[in-house]
Amino acid sequence: MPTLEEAMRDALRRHTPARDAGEVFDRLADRRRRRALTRKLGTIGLVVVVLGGTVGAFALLGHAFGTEPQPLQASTAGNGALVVSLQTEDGFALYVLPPEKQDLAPAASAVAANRDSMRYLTDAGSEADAEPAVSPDGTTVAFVRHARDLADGQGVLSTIGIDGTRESLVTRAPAQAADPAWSPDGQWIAFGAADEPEGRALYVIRPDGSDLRRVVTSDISSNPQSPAWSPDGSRIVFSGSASVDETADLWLADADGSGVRNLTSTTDVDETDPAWSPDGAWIAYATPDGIAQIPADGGDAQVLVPASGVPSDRLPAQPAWSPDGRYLAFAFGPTEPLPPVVYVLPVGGTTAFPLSQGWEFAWQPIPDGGVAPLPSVEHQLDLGLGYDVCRVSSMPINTNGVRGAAYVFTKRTSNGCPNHGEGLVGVDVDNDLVLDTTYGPLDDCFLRCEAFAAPDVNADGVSEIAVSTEGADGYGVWLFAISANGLTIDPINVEDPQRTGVVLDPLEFAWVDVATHFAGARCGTLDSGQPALIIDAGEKQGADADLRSTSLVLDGTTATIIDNVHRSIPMSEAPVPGHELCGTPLYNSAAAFPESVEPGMG
Amino acid sequence: VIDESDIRAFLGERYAGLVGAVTLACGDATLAEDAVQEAIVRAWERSERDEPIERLDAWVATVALNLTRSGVRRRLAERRARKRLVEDTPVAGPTPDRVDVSRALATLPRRQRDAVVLRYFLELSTTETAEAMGTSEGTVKSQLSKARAHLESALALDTDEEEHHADA
Repeated sequence: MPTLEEAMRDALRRHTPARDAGEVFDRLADRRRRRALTRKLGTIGLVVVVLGGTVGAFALLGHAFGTEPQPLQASTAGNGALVVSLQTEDGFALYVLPPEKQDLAPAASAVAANRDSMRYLTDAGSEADAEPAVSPDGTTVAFVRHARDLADGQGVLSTIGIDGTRESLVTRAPAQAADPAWSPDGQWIAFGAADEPEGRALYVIRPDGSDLRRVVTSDISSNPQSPAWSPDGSRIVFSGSASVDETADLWLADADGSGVRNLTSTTDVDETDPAWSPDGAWIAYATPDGIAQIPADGGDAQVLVPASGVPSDRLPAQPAWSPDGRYLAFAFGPTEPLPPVVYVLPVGGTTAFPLSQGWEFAWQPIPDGGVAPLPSVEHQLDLGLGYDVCRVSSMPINTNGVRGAAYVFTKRTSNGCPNHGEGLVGVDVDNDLVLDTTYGPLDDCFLRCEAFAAPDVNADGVSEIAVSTEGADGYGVWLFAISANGLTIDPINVEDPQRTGVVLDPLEFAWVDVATHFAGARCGTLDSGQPALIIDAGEKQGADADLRSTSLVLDGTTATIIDNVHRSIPMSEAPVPGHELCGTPLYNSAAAFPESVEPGMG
Repeated sequence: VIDESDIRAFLGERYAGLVGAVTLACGDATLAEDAVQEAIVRAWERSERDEPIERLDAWVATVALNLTRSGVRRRLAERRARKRLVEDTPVAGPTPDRVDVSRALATLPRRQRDAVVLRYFLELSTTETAEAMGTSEGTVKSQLSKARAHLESALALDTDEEEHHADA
């Protein structure tokens, strides 16, 4: 029998890799260079660097337009903020360039706005937030949240208010969401995503995540993508190829996916990234020849931004019309690794100029006669703690009949809102908007941490607080107990009578790998009639599912495992992939405070 | 200030051991190596800003351990947490070939796990471990004592050499 020292030495030896110090040094030096560059680009001096680097290609854009674009009719919408996906030191995040910081007067000295002029909209964190699209009423940004470490680009469709509140997940399925586009009436979001068993399809879904419909399947067009709506909402244009070995064309379909027809029908050129002009007359798109447009009813295409001489992997792309129809913007980044820039071409003009850093972008429409909200300062509140808080989420709680609220938040500093990693839990026992106790920081909160549910699992008259966290491909939930007088919060620890002496962390359960795993937690009762928390967790294994149900009884700050049943069941009987706790859906908490302080639980 | 030759020397002497120790603590070799590299680069940058680091190995280990717990790396921890909650009760009386230090470490509370990595795997003194963890020597000793008791119980090991690391 080895000693602990021997066991540890042996384990360390077996886990220590053989590495060449020289090779590792090269990798470190490369990593350091990338970090330094990203940091430099994120701050001052960047614009000059970008323009210097793009000067050759920029000249191309500015002086070689061979055709006369057709002026558009005036649109009824105005231009609001520009939402861009920017690379940061940690990944890609969404930033907002307010209208007053947009220099839309073409000038040779025009420079691309950088992060200093912008307000930050979503967490940089360790994920990539990309492909923004702003709702027609200007209030909401749909975007795709990518798990950066997943090679197949698992994106999930999400929304956030343009003022930084109300972030919510629209849908996780189908997987690999991309290219969201709002319908003109704001009732639908079209997007591309995976189509089982293989290939991709176009879908529409309600912004609240309901009513998912598949409108264009891979049977009709191989790899359909980048949907864009006609201004009247009756049709969708998208790019796709007739078969896998053909180049991409633009296709038109009715909004329900019927009546698909090919708009461009070229045999040797890719046409991608369609964008319908606000007056409905033109569809702009990207081709290897540059940014072009074609009449929406078919006809001869015109190249607006020629790209001859530009390397094929650096072509201008993603044309988008400004809401007022006066500009056609596109992304262009000819000099790796310098960041791409959003350029703007005045409609009818011949010279494009840089507007903002960014690759994927969207312009906020300001509806005619309506007042769309503009980006505000970050959410901040005083909850009686002597400091402002931010990233607030809340849930109603009940303490022996007294209605209050539980909050998860971060402490605002002079540098703004810190990461969720420094989140705290707080309780306001009697809803007087002054916190009575706090706990934290919650060092397990990282990407996102929110108050999520407050069921009374053990039926003792005092709610438990469930705090949800979001990781790259799954959710975690931590449970906290509120003392009977409501004045302390403590994590609930798990005790397993079968494993005496084993130290366990606070009760934490997770829904991970939603593609292959399913899980949920329910408030149930044991045979004895005692209230219990039952966690069902399973894994798909072909036609069957491996299901484990763990029953825990909560008493104060201890959850004791009473039962752990492991069985194989037919997949058809497996619980629906659950993202809820005792009937409360995950991320049901309204982040928009104080409206979310609802009457407490009855 | 740490310069290139310091980094090269550090890589030759300490890199592989750090990756091994962090691997044991987090249970994932790829994750551990990424975290150690990131930590070394941050130390390098920090040094260039004239922010000295007294014990580079301790600093790198502490930052790397934190990194393994953050960001996209979270999902791995989530998966382990779920697995731990639902896994079958271990059969009593493990044999030596079933001794799994990494798995036993995973059941330790975080601070105890960090203390074990710094004190036993990186062979820092109790004082250095306390400095790296930003805590007192007394706390480190108490964490290590609890960790040892748990590990020996979880791994069903002899306790003969306990006095070697009693740190009292």
